[in-house]
Amino acid sequence: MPRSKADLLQGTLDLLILKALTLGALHGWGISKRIRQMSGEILEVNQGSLYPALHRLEDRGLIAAEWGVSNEGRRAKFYTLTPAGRAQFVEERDNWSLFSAAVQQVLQTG
Amino acid sequence: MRWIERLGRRLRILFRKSRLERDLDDELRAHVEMETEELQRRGMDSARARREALRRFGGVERTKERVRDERGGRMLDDFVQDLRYGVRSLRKSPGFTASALLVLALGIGSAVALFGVVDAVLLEPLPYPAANRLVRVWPARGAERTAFSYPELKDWRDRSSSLVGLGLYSTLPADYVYLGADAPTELATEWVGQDFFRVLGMAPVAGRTLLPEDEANHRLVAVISWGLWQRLFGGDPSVVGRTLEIDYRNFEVVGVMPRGFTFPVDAEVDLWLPITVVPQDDIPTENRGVRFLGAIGRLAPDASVETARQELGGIARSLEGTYPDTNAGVSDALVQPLSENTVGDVRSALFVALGAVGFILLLACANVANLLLARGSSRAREVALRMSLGAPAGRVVRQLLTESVLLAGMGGVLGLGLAWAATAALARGSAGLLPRAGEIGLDGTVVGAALLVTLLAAALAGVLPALRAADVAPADDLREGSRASSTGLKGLRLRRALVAAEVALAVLLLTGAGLLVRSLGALTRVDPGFETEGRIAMTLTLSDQKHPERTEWMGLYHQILDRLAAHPDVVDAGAIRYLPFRGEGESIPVQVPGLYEPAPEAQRYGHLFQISDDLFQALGMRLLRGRVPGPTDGPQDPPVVVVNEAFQREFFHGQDPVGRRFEPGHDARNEIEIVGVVADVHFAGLAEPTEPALYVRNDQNPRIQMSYVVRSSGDPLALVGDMRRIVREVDPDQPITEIVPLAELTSETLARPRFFTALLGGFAALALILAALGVYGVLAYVVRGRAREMGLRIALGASGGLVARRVLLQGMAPVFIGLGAGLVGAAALSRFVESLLFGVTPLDVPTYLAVAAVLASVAAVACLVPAWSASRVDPIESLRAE
Repeated sequence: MPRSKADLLQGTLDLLILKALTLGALHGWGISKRIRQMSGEILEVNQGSLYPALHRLEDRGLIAAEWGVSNEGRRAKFYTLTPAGRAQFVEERDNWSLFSAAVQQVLQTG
Repeated sequence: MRWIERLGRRLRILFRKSRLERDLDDELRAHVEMETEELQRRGMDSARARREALRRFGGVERTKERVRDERGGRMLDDFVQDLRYGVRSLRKSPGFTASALLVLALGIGSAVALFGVVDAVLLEPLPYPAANRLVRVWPARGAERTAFSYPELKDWRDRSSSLVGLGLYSTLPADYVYLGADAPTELATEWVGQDFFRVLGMAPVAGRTLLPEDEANHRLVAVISWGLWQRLFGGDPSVVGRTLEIDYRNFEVVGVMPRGFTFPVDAEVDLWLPITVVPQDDIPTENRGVRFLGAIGRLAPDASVETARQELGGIARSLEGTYPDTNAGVSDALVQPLSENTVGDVRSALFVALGAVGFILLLACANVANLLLARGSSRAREVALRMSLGAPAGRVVRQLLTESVLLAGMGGVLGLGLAWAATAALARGSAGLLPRAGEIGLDGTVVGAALLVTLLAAALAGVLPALRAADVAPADDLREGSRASSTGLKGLRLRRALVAAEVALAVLLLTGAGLLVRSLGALTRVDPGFETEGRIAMTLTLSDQKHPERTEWMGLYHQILDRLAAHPDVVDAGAIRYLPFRGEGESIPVQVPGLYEPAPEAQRYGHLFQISDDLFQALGMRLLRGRVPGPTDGPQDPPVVVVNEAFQREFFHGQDPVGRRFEPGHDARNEIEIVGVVADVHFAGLAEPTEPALYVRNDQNPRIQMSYVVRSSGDPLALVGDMRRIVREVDPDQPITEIVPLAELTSETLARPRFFTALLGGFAALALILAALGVYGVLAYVVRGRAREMGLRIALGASGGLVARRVLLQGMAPVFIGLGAGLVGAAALSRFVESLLFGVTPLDVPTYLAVAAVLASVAAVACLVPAWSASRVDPIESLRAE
């Protein structure tokens, strides 16, 4: 169980949120659930970090929010990716790949 | 554009805060409920599921707070919150708020009002297009400027390339008779040249200005002012081309100038005529020796004041070579920006006054800082509480600063209102005393300055107290707050330093004002050399157009004089060309064979006055030796003069000049005999040294304009009606230029020094009050804070008097420090007022002693009240109060 509580690296939460939203509009609970599922139940997003991050991304214009109704018929705030957010996601994803590949290489060296 | 959207979002956040908070609540609640439902789906009962969902979510309030941080607009949000809090806390202590606002409003108001004056008089460009390219130009003998003759000015105008034009205007006052109104009146007339309007860059509102042909062909044309257009023609647009009969000649009106146009600034001019309409037998304008013209130039695009001076100096030297008879010694040119020339000698006085209000502002800020500090210590518990509840120190400082900004802002608004009233009063009070006084008022620049001053005041007054207040150890302050012990008197040293600074500033202002008061006293004690009491003067110009023969108009002069003398209430009646203190006069070069034969460039001059036989009695001047010219010295007789003591000193090295002769200029055929010596008169002004003067009988050297001076046996003003009647009887078409009691001439010359003395005196009084308030405030606070200690002392047997003495000494300590520092500072700064002083040195010891005495006694009085209340502390009460 300890690995599921692993703290997310600084900045990676934003990237994960953006990725989660590339597949369509989601509310906060849905985002945390999707990240958990996509990480194979390893990454657990702390709500105390999720909501501030959502509002930060909204303030920066990378995501947009709108009230809507969920599949279960519940009123919820749905977040979608803006064009700027999509561009940001592509850029951050590429940076991450480069970064993780580099770290991987360092760790595998002799 | 992104940042604009963001700003928009922040403002929305700010204004829709309650909705946003509700949204956030809903969003988080929805999350918890979804989590609960999910857990229920997995088989938990609803109560457990809800508890588990809440546990997983963590601290809801903390999350909310973090969201608020991330949402943006937090600073703005805090600011508004601080502002609300500030308003609330200011309203809770109305006494503090009112006194701080009053002090700030006084400081800001006086600074802004005076800045309004300085702005209008010194800073705003003159009311002509591209006025910074305008210059005054003079021919010069060495460093001494002189006037132009007309032929000389034409030569400069034609030859100069560093000026795009050289406009001439007559410096002689010319008043043309106008008979079209109910009573004969005079129109203020300025003779000008063809370049005059072009140089100033002013276009007419109707018709045209002057053309070169007008000047060359001696055309009788007139450009009239807006005011005259309204007065005589009711603003009729068809005025151009109409005929205006002035001075018994018909002039064609060719143009109307826009409202407010005049030159020089503040001059009242009704109409402008070409210089060439002046008859040669009036003023021989074609004579190179007759210097009576002023000139304004506009610098060519590539020219500077210095290059223009060099070029014009060359022209002067070339003319000196061509016309040695008239231009000997005139070998240079002086060029000065018109703005400097217009402001003249009030510049230094205004800067001194501006410095004074700067000190007032500092004093006001020190005062408010002191009030804030006092408040800060009594609020120490509140601050400690907020900090112990987790407010970071920076946040507390920001909140306290917001409060001082709020205070200064309200003070600024009040100050602006005060400045508005004060500016109006200053504009009225300085009319005629300051150049461009008519332009004084609050405009955008001044309001901008007010904003700046307000922010400065907020920073000066607020920063130190805010830092000080936030510097608390919560635990200590909370514990100690309940007991107002003497250790609670934190920042007392800072407050004492502020009091010392306030006293020092007050000393600076009091010293400046004191020096001016002493100087004004010295000025009023100057003996002008003539009497003013019971005397009144009437100035008029006889018309040599209506009465072309000299014998004819001289006949009128004698008739008026005789009839005035025959009036039963008139003791003496006389006449003189040029009244004292008016800055007008004419002068002639003097040569005394064997005693004073200077080179042309070292030539000294004597002021020439035409007088009647009884003028000396009428003016109360004292004949020291010899005789006064009389009826035996007629127009055909050899010319004789009376000279003054300065003339005797300057040209006769103190020898008795009576019976001796001198030559006006180098003209040996024109020798003039001196028949008497008269005591000196401070003709140019009370503060001016006496200069050589000669008095000639008007019959021998007649002038059409004379001032008739009568000495009344009663109230001189009661004579005004009869004086007018006498003139009317002699010639019904004769206008009177002016009737003025001589006492008024003296008060006119004292008006400007009085104005500045009153201004600085007012500031000094304000400074004294503010400093006294500061001294009182701190001491009263100390006494309140130490009531327990005082009570204890009294309970232990100290007498009330002893306690009072101790408090008094404590209160006066910073006063003496400030006094010492202030006196040293005043001595150092006093040289800046030196140019405003007369008969007093900047280090005048009596002034400094008086300032020290006044300040010490006012401060002592301010200390007495708290000292008295300290001696009356009831030991039982003060100990029980805990």
